[in-house]
Amino acid sequence: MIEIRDLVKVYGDKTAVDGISFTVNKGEVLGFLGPNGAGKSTTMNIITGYLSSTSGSVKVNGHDILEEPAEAKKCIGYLPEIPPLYPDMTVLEYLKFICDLKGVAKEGRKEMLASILAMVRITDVAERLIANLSKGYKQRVGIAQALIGNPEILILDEPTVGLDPNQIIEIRKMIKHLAKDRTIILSSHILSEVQAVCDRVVIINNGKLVAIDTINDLSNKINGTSKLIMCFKGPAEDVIRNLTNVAGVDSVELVASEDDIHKIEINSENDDDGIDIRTRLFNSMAMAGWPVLEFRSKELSLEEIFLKLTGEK
Amino acid sequence: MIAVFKRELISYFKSPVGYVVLAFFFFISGFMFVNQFSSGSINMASEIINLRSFFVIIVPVMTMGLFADDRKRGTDVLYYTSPVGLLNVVLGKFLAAFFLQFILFINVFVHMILTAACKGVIDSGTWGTVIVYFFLAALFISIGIFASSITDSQIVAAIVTFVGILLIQLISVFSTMVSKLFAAILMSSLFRMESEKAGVICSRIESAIRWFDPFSKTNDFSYGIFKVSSLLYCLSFAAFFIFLTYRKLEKKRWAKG
Amino acid sequence: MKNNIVKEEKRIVSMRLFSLASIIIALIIIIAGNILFDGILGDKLSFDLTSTNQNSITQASVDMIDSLPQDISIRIVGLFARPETIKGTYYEYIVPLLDDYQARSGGRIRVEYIDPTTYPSIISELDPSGDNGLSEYLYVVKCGDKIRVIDPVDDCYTYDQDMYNYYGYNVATSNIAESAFSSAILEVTGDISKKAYFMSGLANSDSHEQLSLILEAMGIASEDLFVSDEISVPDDCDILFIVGINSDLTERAQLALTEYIQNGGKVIVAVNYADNPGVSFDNLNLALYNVDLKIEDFMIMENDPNYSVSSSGFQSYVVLSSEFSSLVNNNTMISSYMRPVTEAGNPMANILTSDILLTSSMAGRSYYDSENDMIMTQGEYMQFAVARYGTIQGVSNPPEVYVFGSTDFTSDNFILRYGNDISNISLIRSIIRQATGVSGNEVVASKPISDYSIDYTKISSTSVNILTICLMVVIPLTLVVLGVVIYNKRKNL
Repeated sequence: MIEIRDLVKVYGDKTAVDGISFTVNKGEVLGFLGPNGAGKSTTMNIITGYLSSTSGSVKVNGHDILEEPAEAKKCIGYLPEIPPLYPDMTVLEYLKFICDLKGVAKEGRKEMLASILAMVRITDVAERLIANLSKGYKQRVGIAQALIGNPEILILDEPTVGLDPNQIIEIRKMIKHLAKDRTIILSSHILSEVQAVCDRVVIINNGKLVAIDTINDLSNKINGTSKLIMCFKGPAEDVIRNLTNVAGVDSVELVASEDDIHKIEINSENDDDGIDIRTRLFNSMAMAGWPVLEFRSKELSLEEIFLKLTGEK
Repeated sequence: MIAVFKRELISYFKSPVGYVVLAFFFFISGFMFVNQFSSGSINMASEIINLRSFFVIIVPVMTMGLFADDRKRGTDVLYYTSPVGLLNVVLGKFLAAFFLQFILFINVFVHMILTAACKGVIDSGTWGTVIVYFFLAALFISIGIFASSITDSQIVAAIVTFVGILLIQLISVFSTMVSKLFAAILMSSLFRMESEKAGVICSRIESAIRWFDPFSKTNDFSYGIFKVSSLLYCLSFAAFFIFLTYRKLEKKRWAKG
Repeated sequence: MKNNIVKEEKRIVSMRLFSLASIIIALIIIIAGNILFDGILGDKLSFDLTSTNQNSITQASVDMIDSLPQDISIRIVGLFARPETIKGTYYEYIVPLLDDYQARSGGRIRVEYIDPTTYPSIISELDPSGDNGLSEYLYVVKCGDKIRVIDPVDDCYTYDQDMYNYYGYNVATSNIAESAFSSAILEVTGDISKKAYFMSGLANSDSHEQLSLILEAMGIASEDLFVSDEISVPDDCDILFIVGINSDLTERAQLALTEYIQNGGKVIVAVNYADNPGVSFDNLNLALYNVDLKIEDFMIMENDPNYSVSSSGFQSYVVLSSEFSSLVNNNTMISSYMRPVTEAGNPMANILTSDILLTSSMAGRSYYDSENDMIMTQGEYMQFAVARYGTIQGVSNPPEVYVFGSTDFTSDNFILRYGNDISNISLIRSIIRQATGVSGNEVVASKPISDYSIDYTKISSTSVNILTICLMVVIPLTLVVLGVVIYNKRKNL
């Protein structure tokens, strides 16, 4: 569906995208993961034809975006990082304008608009001015805009950024719904979001491709090691010594302490025996009579994941 | 093109901008008309020529937001990523501003009807100035659009357009100044040129600069001489600025930063 | 990786090159195209769409130019920089007209603008003798050594004399630039073959500059013939004008005129009554007796309301007699303060006279009573001849004498007010042509200047107020209110 080969984009002295190649298959939801400034938006802008690459090629449905831009662009619906909304228009006026812009046929337009409005659930604000909408609604109007013309490919750049948790859940649901009959590329800097909706993940950092994998494989790799955080009351040295001896624990570090309340970070290895290491740690603490105030697993930061992924390669 | 044209034209009338420009233009031209009417003789050509001096205010207001605002809001992405070509987008916006000029001009047509009703003169000179008005408008709007495409600040775009149109209006003044300056230099002790020779050279320079003046080129229209070449001049430079705008927008795709 | 970067640069460089090159090429094409178009088709594709063709030369001038020799070279030099704005100035109808001369002359006429302040030697170049008093703001028409000076203010327009006399304003009424330049071209190209003399020095009340211009356009030079004790009509005189005189001829002048008529001279006489009431032209009549013509000592008062123009009846229409009606298309003319021209009662049978212009059959006589300082009228309605023609048949060189009892066919006052294409002037032109035998170029008609005044009955303080309120208050305010309302409505959507 989308074929990206050796994509390079240079801004001034900075290479924003550096030799990225991957393909997106029909019907899949591809997550595009990377920290802010990693080159996600640039790549997406190149795919959609907003920017042209310094070198490399993008083929959408077999059409090169530089050579046959009109055909290629017809297949794509794009929601940029900032939704391209005209604040001085009402939602309906705006979507009609997009219809005109994309050359959507007049007949059936009304039904199409109605179904899109219903799909992204903005029917009730259709007559309102975009400037007066909340951020979540604006984001939905942006998605509605991308859906106009019924493109086979949807490219969504950070669709949930800046939304409150309820809105995030809503949008994710919507994406899942849309994914049924579309190819979707979705960028994010939040791992869990990608995990929640994507089939495959492309991870980039500093403009370079770090990993490309299915979500399951990736989860296994990431979950191979885990970090636990524990807060407790008691003598720090004793606890650390004690816990280091627990089977499966790699190392224990003291992170912070206040009076006799301490915070430690526990690195653990893969579970070999199938018993959760947390059980053993808890038991160990309980036997010693040190009260555990807080006990949770720490999510790996993207940087740490990159380190991990690149380290393993 | 039509989609962009429609949106931009309608948006003039969704914000107060369109109405304020209309009211301003109607007021000014109304003042000129009533003034002439009360004196008992109406020369529509001179009213239209006087109205041209307000291009310097009206055109920047009309064109400043056309691209600058899009860049600021991020809506320019729509034009780059939708199947319409950028040139169509530029043309659509140009036509919207140009059409607004037609709407402004309704008022002058009303004045012309009033003049005709009072048995005044509506002659070929009048129609000549009408034609020139629109060709000059096309030229200035294209300059305004270009100015709007080089910045994402409306104010900057407006100022650039204002200065641009002002400079064009002053070309004939500049040409005289430059030629006088050259005359002084050539006749100074540095070159010791005879005054006649220097005079010839300077008048050449003056007319060369003046060649670019769309106002003096189209002067003849107001007394009934229609020169296709002057119209071609306005039109071709309007096309040039539209092309320049297109290239400027296109540049954003591939430029280094 | 290095390769990659080189490749990267390549695309940017080529894009930038393409972009820059396309812009530069477009600019070059546009400028070159404009210059080329201007040079090749600029003149062909410019159209004079004025209703009176103020800015184009008429067929008469085109014919005149076409008749000039192919290798002739005429310079028309404006002694000033080419004016930038000409609208509303004297140059409005001159500058574009001269461009048209140049365009249609096939390279024989060159129009230049040279400012003598920056290029002082132009004056001596054009006029080495310095006789013509060239100065700034004049036009010079030059061919070979012959030059003619044309003042754009004095020579190219006619002005409303009343406005000038009463208010001191110069209000141009018509544009005679073309006839001025065409006759100047004719003169400098040496096509003047005939000569007219104007008898002067007889308390002339009116000048005849306009008539001289008309003659010039027909290829007739004019000169004054001063009435002195030794006056005799020169041999090279093709036509003698005795127009606008307010006192009778001297005896000596009468003899000269008689001799001239007897020798087959061509004479045009024009006097009226208003400028010389009470004067009787005895000596003049004595000379005219040779062709059986006589100027009467009273003034015609028109009583037919269909003929009368002014309520007093002193200005009225006169009708061309059937003998002369073929000369002019429109045989009704306007005339004022007329003396009748009658038969003198010369019994010689070979004299032939005929009426030229006639009043209605209801015209009466009136006198100026100098004692009471009033106009007296006197009964009996009849038809008078206002102009008559007399000749002698059966001689080898017959004289032709045309006597007008009105100066409304020759005077500057009249031509300046009514233009040189009114039927009065067409008549005099035809008569001159007939008398001198010049085939004559059709004179270039003066062109009325656009008048922007509107129907004054529509201008009242009420209508001005209504327009002011509508155009300057109601409409703009409505628009502003509409804008605010729509904006507010939308703002809260």
